[in-house]
Amino acid sequence: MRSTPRTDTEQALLSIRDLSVTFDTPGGPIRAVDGVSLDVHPGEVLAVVGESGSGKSQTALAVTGLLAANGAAEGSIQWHRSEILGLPEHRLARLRADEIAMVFQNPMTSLNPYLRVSVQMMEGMMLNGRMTRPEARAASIEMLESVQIADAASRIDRYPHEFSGGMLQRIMIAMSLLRRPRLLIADEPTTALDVTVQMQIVRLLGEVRRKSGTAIMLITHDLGLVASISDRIAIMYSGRIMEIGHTEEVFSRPRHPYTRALLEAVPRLDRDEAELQGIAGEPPDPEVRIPGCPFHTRCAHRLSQCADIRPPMDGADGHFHACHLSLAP
Amino acid sequence: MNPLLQVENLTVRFPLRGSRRFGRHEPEHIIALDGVSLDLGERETLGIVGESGSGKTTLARAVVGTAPIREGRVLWRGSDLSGASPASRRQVRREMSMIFQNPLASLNPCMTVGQIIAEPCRVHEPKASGAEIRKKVDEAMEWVGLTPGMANRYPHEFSGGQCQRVGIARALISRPKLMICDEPVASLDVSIRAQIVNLLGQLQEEFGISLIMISHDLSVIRHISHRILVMYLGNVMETVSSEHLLKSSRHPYTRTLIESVPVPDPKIQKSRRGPLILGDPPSMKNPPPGCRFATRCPIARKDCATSRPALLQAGPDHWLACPHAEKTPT
Repeated sequence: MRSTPRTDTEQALLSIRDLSVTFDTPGGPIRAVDGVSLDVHPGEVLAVVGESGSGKSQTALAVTGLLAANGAAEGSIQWHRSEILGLPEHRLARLRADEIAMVFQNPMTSLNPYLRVSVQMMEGMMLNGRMTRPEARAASIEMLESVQIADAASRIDRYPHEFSGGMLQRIMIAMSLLRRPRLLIADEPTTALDVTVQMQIVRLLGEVRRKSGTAIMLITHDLGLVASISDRIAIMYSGRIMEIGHTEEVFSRPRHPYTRALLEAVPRLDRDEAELQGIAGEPPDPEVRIPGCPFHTRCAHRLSQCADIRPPMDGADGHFHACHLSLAP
Repeated sequence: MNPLLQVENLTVRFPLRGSRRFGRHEPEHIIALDGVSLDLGERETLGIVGESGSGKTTLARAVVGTAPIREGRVLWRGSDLSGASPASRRQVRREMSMIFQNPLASLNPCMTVGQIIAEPCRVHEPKASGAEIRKKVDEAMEWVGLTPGMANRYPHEFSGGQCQRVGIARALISRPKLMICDEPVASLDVSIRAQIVNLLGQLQEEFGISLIMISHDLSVIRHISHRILVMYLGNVMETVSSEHLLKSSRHPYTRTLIESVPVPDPKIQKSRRGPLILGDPPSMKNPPPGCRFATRCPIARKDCATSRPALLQAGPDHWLACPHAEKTPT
């Protein structure tokens, strides 16, 4: 079995080893996540970057035990050094309520349109008599104020449709922080929002981390967003991690050809490029299992063994990549 | 010589459903476009950028004649389209085509891609024979990098990027003079996005067409356009050449957009101060009476809330609707 050469598992909040997620479909099994290993440390922002179908969201859903009914996860997911993969639903529900919170892409569809925001925020805190109604209400208002919802005390009783998209996403983040989680998983939290509002959410996430020490796993396809906020970055492609390392290191010295190609494919506002370097071809069909590197069909530096032999994770100083070719840094 | 397309003082309103109920007299319309003017030359690419609700899509729809024009005119090669006969309007429509955001949703799932690409031909050239049309379809597919052998497949068999190529082939087959692309790459992955942006650029040069590119993504717009029109709540805030966008644009909203776009480089991005404004765009039902941006503007003065600034020339190829913007950008 492959193993990542990381040694600091002991301090990790979340430690994923050789995680695979397979969906049983009428057309045969589809492997969405294929041997992913990564750690999230307390208080850090880890960005998981990938295009659609790269398995980034399914990795997060496997962590929280929220995979679709036809999905199965294998491998190991440790939370504070105890295994949480395969825990019974009531234990996972408790974990999601108290320690690992999630924020999704579209705030409009994450809230119940028929219930006032106050009801939805207070619900979790009043479960099992944890808090009384006035306590829960006070805590909710305080949390809304901390995410800069003006006039929170009166607005809390409004319905979701009475808020704008940016405000709803702030409400979702406030709601996810109510139980003071150790880890916040944010799955494309700004994709549905306008650019001017997007930066407000990014700043808010940065503040959350700074003030409460909450670790954030940010799932996104937006490299600009990653550059704004993350400490470390994991680049995924076709269910696998291609490269992982400190954000500045990966951006300035990308080692994997896919990472390089991705960085060159983005138009930049601060630079003039004559032509964008697109990546020719399409990502592989998830129904077909690839023994070698999934990027080999589109890779400009392909070697003879790339199609058949899976490249191991290689690297040092917290910067690893899975490629047969060792690109000069 | 007249420009290819001129839009003069265009206003489009949409009625709000149910606004008359229970005797309430709330505002009855959403003003999607409010006195917008622009012109577009031959072989020019005009980028239109703005956030949701800025009226970019309505502007495109008004140009092709699928949005109700309340006031103003659309001129094609100098002649007014609103007064034109249905026959001449159809002739003009043939010279314009559109590409939409969601490639899969804009293709009929029950038709093969060959039929989809052929459809404009069948409308505009009803007398063309099957063989002629097939030849044109094959040709159009090659232009956009699709294999003609794929013509008998259905849209669901294609990836998002390929579907967008089908949409472009459909838009090209009648050899238009103007192609309007409404968020053509917003739903595509980064690696595919660059392919499509490059393809549009190549096709424009090859066929000498004019492009209107609509997007919320300023980096994409700047990359592909010659000139950029910045919209906010149905108003034009500024137009500036792409080349001079970063250096010369002065409208506080344009500057905010530039500051808001994250640069994919942590060393630069983490030291940027970020956008200057807070809050969300105001409601379209009750837009601010003066400058539309006044409620969020960092340099707003008293008169901004009441009087609407005119779009005035601020330099060569540079028009600005803000009397208070500094001469040199901040």
